[in-house]
Amino acid sequence: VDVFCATPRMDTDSADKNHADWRRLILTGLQQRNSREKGGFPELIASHENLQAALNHYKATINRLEHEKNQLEKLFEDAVKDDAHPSGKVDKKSVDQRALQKELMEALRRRAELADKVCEMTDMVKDKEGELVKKDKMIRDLEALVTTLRAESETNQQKYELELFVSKSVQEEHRNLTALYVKEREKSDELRRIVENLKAENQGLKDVRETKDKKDSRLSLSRLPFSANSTRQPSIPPADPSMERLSGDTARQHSLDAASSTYLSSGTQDQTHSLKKSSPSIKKRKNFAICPSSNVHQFDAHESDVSALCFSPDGTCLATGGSDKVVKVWTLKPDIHTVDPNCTILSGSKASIVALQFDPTCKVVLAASNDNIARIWNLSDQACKHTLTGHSAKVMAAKFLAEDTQKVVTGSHDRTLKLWDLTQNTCFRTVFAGSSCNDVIAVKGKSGPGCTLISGHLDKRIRFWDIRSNATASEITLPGKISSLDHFAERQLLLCCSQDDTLRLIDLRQNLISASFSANGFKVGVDWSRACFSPDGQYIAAGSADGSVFVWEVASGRMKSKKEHTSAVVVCGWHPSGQLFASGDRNKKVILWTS
Amino acid sequence: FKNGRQKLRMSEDDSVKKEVWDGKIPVCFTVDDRELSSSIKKTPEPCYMLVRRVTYFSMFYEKLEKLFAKETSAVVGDEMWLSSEEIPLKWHYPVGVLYDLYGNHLPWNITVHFKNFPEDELLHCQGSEPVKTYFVSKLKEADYLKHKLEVFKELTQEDTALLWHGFLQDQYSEFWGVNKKFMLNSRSVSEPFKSIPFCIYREGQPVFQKLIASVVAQSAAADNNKEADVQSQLQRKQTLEDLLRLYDSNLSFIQESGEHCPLVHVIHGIEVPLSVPLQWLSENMSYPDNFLHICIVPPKRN
Repeated sequence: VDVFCATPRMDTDSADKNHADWRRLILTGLQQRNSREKGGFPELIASHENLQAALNHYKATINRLEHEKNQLEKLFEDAVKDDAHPSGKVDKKSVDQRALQKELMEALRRRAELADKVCEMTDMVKDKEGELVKKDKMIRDLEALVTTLRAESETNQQKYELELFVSKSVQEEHRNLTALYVKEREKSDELRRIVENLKAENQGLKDVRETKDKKDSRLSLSRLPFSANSTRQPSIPPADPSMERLSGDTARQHSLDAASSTYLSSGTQDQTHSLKKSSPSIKKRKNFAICPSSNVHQFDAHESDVSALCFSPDGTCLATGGSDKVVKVWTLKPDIHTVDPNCTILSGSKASIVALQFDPTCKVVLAASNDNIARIWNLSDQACKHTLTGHSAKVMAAKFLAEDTQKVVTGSHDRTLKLWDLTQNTCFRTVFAGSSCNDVIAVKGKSGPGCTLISGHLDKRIRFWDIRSNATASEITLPGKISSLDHFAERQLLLCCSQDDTLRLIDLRQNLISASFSANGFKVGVDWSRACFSPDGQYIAAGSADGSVFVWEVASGRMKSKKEHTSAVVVCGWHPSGQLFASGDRNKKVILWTS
Repeated sequence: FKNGRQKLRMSEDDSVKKEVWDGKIPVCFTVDDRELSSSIKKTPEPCYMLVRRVTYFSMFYEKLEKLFAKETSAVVGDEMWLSSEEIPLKWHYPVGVLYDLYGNHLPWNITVHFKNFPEDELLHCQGSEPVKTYFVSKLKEADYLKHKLEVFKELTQEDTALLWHGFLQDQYSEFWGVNKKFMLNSRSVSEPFKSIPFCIYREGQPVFQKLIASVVAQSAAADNNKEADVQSQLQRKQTLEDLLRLYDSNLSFIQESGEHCPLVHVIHGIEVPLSVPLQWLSENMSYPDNFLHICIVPPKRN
């Protein structure tokens, strides 16, 4: 304030005084104020603050310590909880520990043991594997061996089979050879015998001549009829070679069968002679056969078809064969007009009988059957004596060879003819005909004692076979298929029935068709319809498809027909006496006819 | 002799300034009982402090909060406020002013509140920034009145920082090293202030602030008011009496009994003689914000 001196001094001075006063006043006032207001407070307040600070500090410390204490207590409690009872817990622990240690030791020991075992096992496994390998190797070797052996065995087998086959063929050949040899032996024996016979006969002839000369000298007075009958002997045993019969003109050649030679000896050209031998009681007249006109007896012979029919040469029996596979042998009653219904049944065939023939001695019956087999039965015991197998198709005809009833010829649809030797049950000759054969006939050879076969075939040909030679002799062709053949030896006539519904007569001497017979209404019933001569050669008869029987007179050609059957007539035949005619149809019936 | 006297006066002036600066009041801060949280079994210890007269209460808010907040049911967001016997204390008044107005007891009992902030009476003070801003603005206002802001404009950032730091940390020399500039004009020459920055406080009445010049022309001696007449050579320093007459010409108030009693004016806790020149008062007895804060109190108060 005193800095600005511009102020009037007077004021300043008085003011100074005042100033000095009031400054001092203010100062003292302030000092008083201070002392009053501050007083003893500063120390108090300071100590208070210190106390507060210390208090706060201790509070904080206490808090901290309490907190720590709580934590420790908690830890302690936890620790206490862990050990339930301080003392017992320790023991248990040690006990547990010991037990655990023991277990540990135990486990370790076991583990060692197991490890050892494992080693052992692995060793064993190795050994076994080695063995396995060896075995495998062995197996493989053995297998290889087996395959080689098998191959060997196969080759051996084949070889064996080959050998077998070879041996079989060799055996067959051997058999054949032995047979041939035997035959040769026989032949030679026969020849020897023949030679001896010749010698004997020569001697005999000489004697006879001598006697004859003597007789002639004696007979100059009285003549004795030279009947053929005396020269003929009944029921010549076929195998008897020592026949006294000799005919002058028989130039004895080698004949294959002695039977035919004996037969030749008995027959001469001026004798009527048929294949069927007749009993001596029946008189032989030239034309003694009847023409069948009246039905005297009819009976049911078979279950269905009557497919074969044959009178026995001695006239006592009638044999019929049917499609019921049996042969029935009916005994003719003494009046020969009826048959005894009790017949002998010959069975054994497996199919229908299509051809029948009695042997000359009437002891056996030969039958040809559709089962490819020809059979021979004994009449006495109805036993099947021979079974001739070998054909591969149905046997349509079977005949005893003319001079030798131990030989049979069969004709079959397998286009062959077979010649059988009954003594050996073999087929000694197969003739290939080339066509199915429907009928076969064995006749005395034209040129001597040799046997000729005539066969009729489906190729419309009739073939002539010479048994001795292999070649086909000749053949005749007809307009129709041959269904059956029949032979009338006296006049060397061959009757052919063919499927063109005609019957033809063939002259064998001239090889010409001498006559043919047909008629309206005459129709061949079956493929193998049988036509036949009457025993005297006067008539020929055949059955027709409509059931009528047609009879023609050979000489005149007059035809007579009689219808008594209700179905096709297949077979027919005359009684050797000629007084009876029999016909069989396809419906069981056999009808006996007389005039 | 003059220099000697000057020196004496200056030393006396300095003493006055020092005494003004050092004024302290013992305060006892207690928490409002009603606000204590239920879990607290006993009331917390009060906080005793010696509070400088020249500071503001808001500088202690933080410390008080630390001490007392956890004892109460206060939550974050509640603002602390102080009261002296139910009277909320405005934080932007210096402590000395508040004590002169309301203080009645040594140590002064102040209650610390957290709840029920009296919105209509107090300003919010969040943190320390408002105080600093307010202080600086007061300085500016004072300088405007004194020098038309010439000196304030010259202040550097460093000066402001020093001022505030010195004020805050009770560093007299640090503060007055800068503050003395305000006592001089812009040319650093002592010169009467244009106007004297002052505030008159009276309980129940708004703050009284008017312009009053430091010097007036002599001729207008009878005229105590208004501006000085510069052209007149004679100038008179205005005194406190002039200032008070400005406030109330009678300088008295009517008591209840009807008697007229003279007003009692208190500056910094003392009754200053009326004849003291305003210039001197403003230079030496201003608060740190360069304002003369005068309190009018009833005479009973001692």
